[in-house]
Amino acid sequence: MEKENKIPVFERPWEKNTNSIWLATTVCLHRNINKFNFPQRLDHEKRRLVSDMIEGILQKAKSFSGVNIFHADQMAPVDRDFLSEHFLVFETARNSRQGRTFITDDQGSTLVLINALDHIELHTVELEQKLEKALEKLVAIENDVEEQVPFAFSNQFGYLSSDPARCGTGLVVNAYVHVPALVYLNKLKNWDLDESRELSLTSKTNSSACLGIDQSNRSPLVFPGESQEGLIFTSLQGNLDDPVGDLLIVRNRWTLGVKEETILSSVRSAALNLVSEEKRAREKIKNEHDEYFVDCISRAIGTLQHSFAMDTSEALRTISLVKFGVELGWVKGVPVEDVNELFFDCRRAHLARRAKIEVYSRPELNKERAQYLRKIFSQAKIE
Amino acid sequence: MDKKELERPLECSECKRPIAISYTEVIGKNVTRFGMCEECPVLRSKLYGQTLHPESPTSLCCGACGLTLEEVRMGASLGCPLCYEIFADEITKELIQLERIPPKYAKKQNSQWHCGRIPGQQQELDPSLKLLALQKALSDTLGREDYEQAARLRDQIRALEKEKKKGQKRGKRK
Repeated sequence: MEKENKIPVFERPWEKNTNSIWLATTVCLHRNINKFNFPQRLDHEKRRLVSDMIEGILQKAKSFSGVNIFHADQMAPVDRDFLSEHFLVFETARNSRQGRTFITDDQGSTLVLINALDHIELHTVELEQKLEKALEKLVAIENDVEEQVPFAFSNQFGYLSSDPARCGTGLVVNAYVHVPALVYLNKLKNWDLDESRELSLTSKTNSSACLGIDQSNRSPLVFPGESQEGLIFTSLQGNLDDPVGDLLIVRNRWTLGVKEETILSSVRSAALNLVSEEKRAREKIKNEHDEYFVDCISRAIGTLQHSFAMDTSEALRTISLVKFGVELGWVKGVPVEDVNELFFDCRRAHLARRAKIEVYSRPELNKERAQYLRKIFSQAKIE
Repeated sequence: MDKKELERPLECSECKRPIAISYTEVIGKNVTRFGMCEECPVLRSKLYGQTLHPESPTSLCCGACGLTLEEVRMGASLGCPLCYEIFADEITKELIQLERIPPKYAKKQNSQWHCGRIPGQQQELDPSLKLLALQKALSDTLGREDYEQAARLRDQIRALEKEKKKGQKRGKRK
């Protein structure tokens, strides 16, 4: 398969990132061009036309610094996955349907995804909790495109999307919050989240079960109801049964009937609430120097230092525990920014690119992952 | 399904329901992977050649893209801007049922629900609303005695106020 051009070496989100709890936020705007069918109902030729049109506009746009264009059907799967992982875009971006195009800026901070769920998806990753700034960056790009082509819009439903659940503002915000203390203290157990009906929020047991630890005595915490209205709480694998890597994702449930400012404000409010609760829980654990956690973290270090094959799920769980240990000041020999990077670097495409693996093979990747992690954590020890 | 497999589609590529089946299509050199729900009409059509259109067609169908009411009810993605007019009632019903709009709008059907930015609006975000949101976050954070986070928010508020003052000065000069 011929590759059009190589993905440049970007600065990666979470690289040199020392955020301890609220790790990152992604902001995404969905738009469709008026008078065109949405991508799922558009033939190849017209998808190509839409893609060419947007590419042309962005090449002249002031809001976009440097235009790197990658056509999905000419990319290796590992490169497609790499961009999706880099921008924390969910799986739907990955398939290679003709006319699907990735356009990135030179810094690797903004992605324009063409012909995925909608004609245009603008994505950015924000690390400093400046959500408004992130949205303004996308709106500037949107304005440049809108000067040339009109977007599909109705007074009742706002900006139109192929999924009515994304119409209105078309704005989707995801805050990634690392909450191991709340998860391990089972503080999320009886969370009265509005999503719980769909996602059956239950206690976290799997990761502790695999470490052979009973945590049935931990008391649950109920968050105030008003802070959850209009929000979805989920995880990397899409449910809260067992949040992999102890990462919670706070996402806006409503894109219609609310202003952009309100969406940002409600996600921020919920994320900050989680940050405060997590800090309180960590303080308690630190003061009590709970042997249960010393044991968990110590086992995680052992697993990372001695495994010869490890899947992503196990890697994220153990990395999360070691990050927790580093931030409590219990683990030495590995800087927190290195641990943060691993949330990316242990994922499939990042790992495959690092190891120059062109075609995925799960056993090979699992071996590569374990080898890489052994190296990173070789000096880690609990004190 | 193996729960440990993280990196695969989370929801049906066609209708956004949770996925149950991974479907890989190889056409020439192109390999396309879809995640599909159990009842996906697209999957049935791919596997058994069943048509997406029912034998007795419904009365409603989008003239621009050919999407039928039956498909909309089965959760298929909308096909074009006109679908929002043709299937307005169905979409409204679904948004209310799935609680995808604030409850205050549920009783005001067929009214103008959208209240965010509109086409041609050059201004990015309302500076006053931005400031209000940050001030609210600051007050909540102080209430929780999270002073580290509060300092971060205070810095953002100061930067915004500075920006606002600069903007006002520029406005006066003009």
